[in-house]
Amino acid sequence: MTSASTTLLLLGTLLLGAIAFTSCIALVIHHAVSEAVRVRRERRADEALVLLAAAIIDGEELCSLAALAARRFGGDAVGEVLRRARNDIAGDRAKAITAALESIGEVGKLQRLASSRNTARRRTAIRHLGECGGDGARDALQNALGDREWEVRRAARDGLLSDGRDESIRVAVASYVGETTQNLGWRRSFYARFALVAPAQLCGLLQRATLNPAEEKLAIEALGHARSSIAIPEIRARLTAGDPELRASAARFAGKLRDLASTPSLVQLLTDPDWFVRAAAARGLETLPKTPTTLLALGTCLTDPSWWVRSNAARSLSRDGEPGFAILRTAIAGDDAYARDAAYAALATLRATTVEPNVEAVAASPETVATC
Amino acid sequence: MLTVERILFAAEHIVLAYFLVLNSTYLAFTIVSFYDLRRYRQRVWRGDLRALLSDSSYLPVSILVPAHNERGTVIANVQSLLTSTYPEFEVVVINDGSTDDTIDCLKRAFALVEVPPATRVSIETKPVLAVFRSLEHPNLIVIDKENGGKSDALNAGINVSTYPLFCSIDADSLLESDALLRVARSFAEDDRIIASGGIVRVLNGSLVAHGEVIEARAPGTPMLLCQSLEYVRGFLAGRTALAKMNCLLIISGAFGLFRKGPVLAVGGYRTDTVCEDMELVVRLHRETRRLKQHGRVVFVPDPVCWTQIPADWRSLLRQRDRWQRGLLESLWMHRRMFLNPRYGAVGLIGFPFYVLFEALGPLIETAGYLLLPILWLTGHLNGPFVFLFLLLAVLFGMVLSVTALILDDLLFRRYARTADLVKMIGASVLEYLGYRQLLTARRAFASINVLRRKGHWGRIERQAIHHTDRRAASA
Amino acid sequence: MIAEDDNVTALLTAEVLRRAGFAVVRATNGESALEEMERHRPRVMILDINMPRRDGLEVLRIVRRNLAGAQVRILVLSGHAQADIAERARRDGADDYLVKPFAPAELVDRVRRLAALVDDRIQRPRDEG
Repeated sequence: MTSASTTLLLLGTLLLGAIAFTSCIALVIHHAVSEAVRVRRERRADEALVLLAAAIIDGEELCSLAALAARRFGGDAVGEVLRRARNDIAGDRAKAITAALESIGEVGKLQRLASSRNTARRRTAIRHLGECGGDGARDALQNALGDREWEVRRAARDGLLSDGRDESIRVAVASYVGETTQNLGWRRSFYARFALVAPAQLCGLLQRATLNPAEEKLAIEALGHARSSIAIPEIRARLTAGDPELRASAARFAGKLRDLASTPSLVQLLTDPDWFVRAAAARGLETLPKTPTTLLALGTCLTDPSWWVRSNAARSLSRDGEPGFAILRTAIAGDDAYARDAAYAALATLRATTVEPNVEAVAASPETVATC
Repeated sequence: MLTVERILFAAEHIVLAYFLVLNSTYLAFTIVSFYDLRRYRQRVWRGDLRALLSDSSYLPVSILVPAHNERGTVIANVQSLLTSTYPEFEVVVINDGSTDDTIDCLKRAFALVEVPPATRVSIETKPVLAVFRSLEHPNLIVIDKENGGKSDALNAGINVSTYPLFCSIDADSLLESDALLRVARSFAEDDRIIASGGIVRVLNGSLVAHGEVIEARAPGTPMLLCQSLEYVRGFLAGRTALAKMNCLLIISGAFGLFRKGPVLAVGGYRTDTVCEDMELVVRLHRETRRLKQHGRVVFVPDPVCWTQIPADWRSLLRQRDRWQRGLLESLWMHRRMFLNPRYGAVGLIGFPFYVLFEALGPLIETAGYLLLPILWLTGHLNGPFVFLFLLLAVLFGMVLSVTALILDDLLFRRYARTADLVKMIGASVLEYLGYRQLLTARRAFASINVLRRKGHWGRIERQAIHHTDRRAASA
Repeated sequence: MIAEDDNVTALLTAEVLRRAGFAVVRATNGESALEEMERHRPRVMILDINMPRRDGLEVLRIVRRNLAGAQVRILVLSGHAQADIAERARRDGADDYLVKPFAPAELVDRVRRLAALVDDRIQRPRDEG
């Protein structure tokens, strides 16, 4: 190798050595320092909390006490404590906490941060504003709906939904509908939050029938997961919707929310052309009381071409004791191998996971034993 | 004229050029990863982890746990899995013909009751002897089957599972309680995703209680530290960038989340390969491109799982030997994809990357080491140059490692104690004092073996079907 | 007793209950919750679902399985997000379920009711005996 390349190599080595050395030192120092800072911040928040706890619960002088604490422990710590407290406490006390947050300037500070050029800071500020409550925060959130970063917009929408007031929700929904870059997960989470915070408004939205089927499906699912019984009429209405996926979701959650009035429609759906609708209907009927018509229809489903339909139907039949068991026993003794398998599986699972006396009787009954 | 001089000259330059290209690529990957990881961390807001549970944007998951002679650890692990905070999941334990009393231990611990097996057999496996369900945990299923190896066990588990996603996890790995939540989210968000991996951390040395890691600590011995460092580097630097280009060919065997449909469509795991997880991923890539389905294999840069790493040299070398063989086998089985535009980015970028850097790398590197004494013997050794070069190599490696550690610290705050971090930095230098060389040599050796046997692929090699021993005595 | 890892929630809940006249003990994770249960035998336990070292549901199951634990009335506390967990908790033996954010008066009300249940249960054998 020539001496030129050796020199080059030497330079390269020195350069890398310097980089390696400095980055190591930087890493170690950064770690130690940030660890210390974090510990100190937590300690401060804890101390502030001890001071403020009583006042948060029922004190009238929360604002002045908060100001005092802010002077001692720093506005950030107190702000954090108050915000987290507001996540836990609802009602009048929440209003008091909001007032305190405004009085120590936390809301003002967050509003300033909300117009920062750094996206991460903006987004965190908006999230925190969502926790603060109150008009000042709400206005800032509304402004943020027009932010150029979708994450900030999303945080703003979440905050407005949490605010709970009609106007805020309306604005949030309008922003959501106008959003072009959404993927399934974000849309789902929007509805999930909506259903938890303001289910009545979401039902109202569904009533106005302005959403397309995909959106309605997400809304129904969110309401179903949140177990909002006020959504039942809307869900029932969609059992006869044109879109099969929407029908299937409605069927699933009509059952989950135990809507008796849906039973006839669900039985109807057991003969739907799409297999997943039938399967969802069979699953939905699981938790509803069984009428003779229902039992008959489910029994027919045991011979359905789709495995999922058969499996769900058998499972539904095994839920409520005797009449269902009789049908399953007939299936086991019958000719159709698929029906037999499905009935078997359902009974066997039931035997394993419950200790109902009926089950023992079924298991011990001669027909079942003979084919075991 | 092909003189010795010329050959040596060419060899030197090849090694040098290779070294430069390799390390520069890794450095570039690390930088790319940084931006990606930072964005991901900001999106998945740590504090709001509990709110993730509310999103209802999840698909139910079947957790498959193949077990072979694991009576000591399987119960604790299954118990730990059953306490996952995932909204809807089932645990399928497959007892793959254990010769000890694994199945009896399971029966006692979980109050198992035998049920008639009424499942569809979508993939052919060795016969399933019995299916059990638990009286106490309705979402636990245990299968007892004839011995068939890990792939066969997983296939049987897939047959029995009822959910659209399945996750394969080693019996001796600890799953984080909200790992499934973080990884399965992406499946619900993006319909194109067919497989996903996550960051696997090293368990040795950390504090564990009740199947949960309380505090992550760096392990004690240099050998374990070096391995730990490799994991940090590999996951943070390599995988993210490759996943971004949809060229990720390796999802860790310790944890992988797959969509069941595509896996069934390609026929499940292959039982005749050493690294079944990698082979499956490559096959998934191949099929999805062949059918123009735009499937993506992604990597969630979130820690999901803690795994035991080999604590003694023999197991470690055997493990690396197996990995290398598996890699070469998988690459060879799908060699059609190499530089084939039909297979998109995987064929044009991913495949060549793995061939050049992972498959051929050890060979070239070993050749480089062997070159030194040859140069010396033939009097062509330029002392200062070689010395500087070696120093450069070590420093480059160190920069790569420290960069990965910085990324790790900034994003995940892994080690609470600064001393641990210092230990890891130390490991980045120690690596070059023998650890790396030994592993590279073993990998080169494995490569040569595989290349030699390539000609005999037509012959079916009958080997004892057993679960390769990945575990070693705990540290 | 309050088993809750979040400092803010724990302290506030404790404060609310103290004002209502209850004696409060706090545990910061699942493990210590079980220990404190043994030591103090509280009448009512407020259990947070997400805790390190054995989460709330696991603690619930363990307590219910233990004979001594059958007396304790358990109120499960969770964030507004985990509606699905409510079902599991009820099935595993929780007596009541409260979602954050809650009104302090509501919490006191429910705890009082649960405590009364325990007293009732203890009273009756004594009356009969």
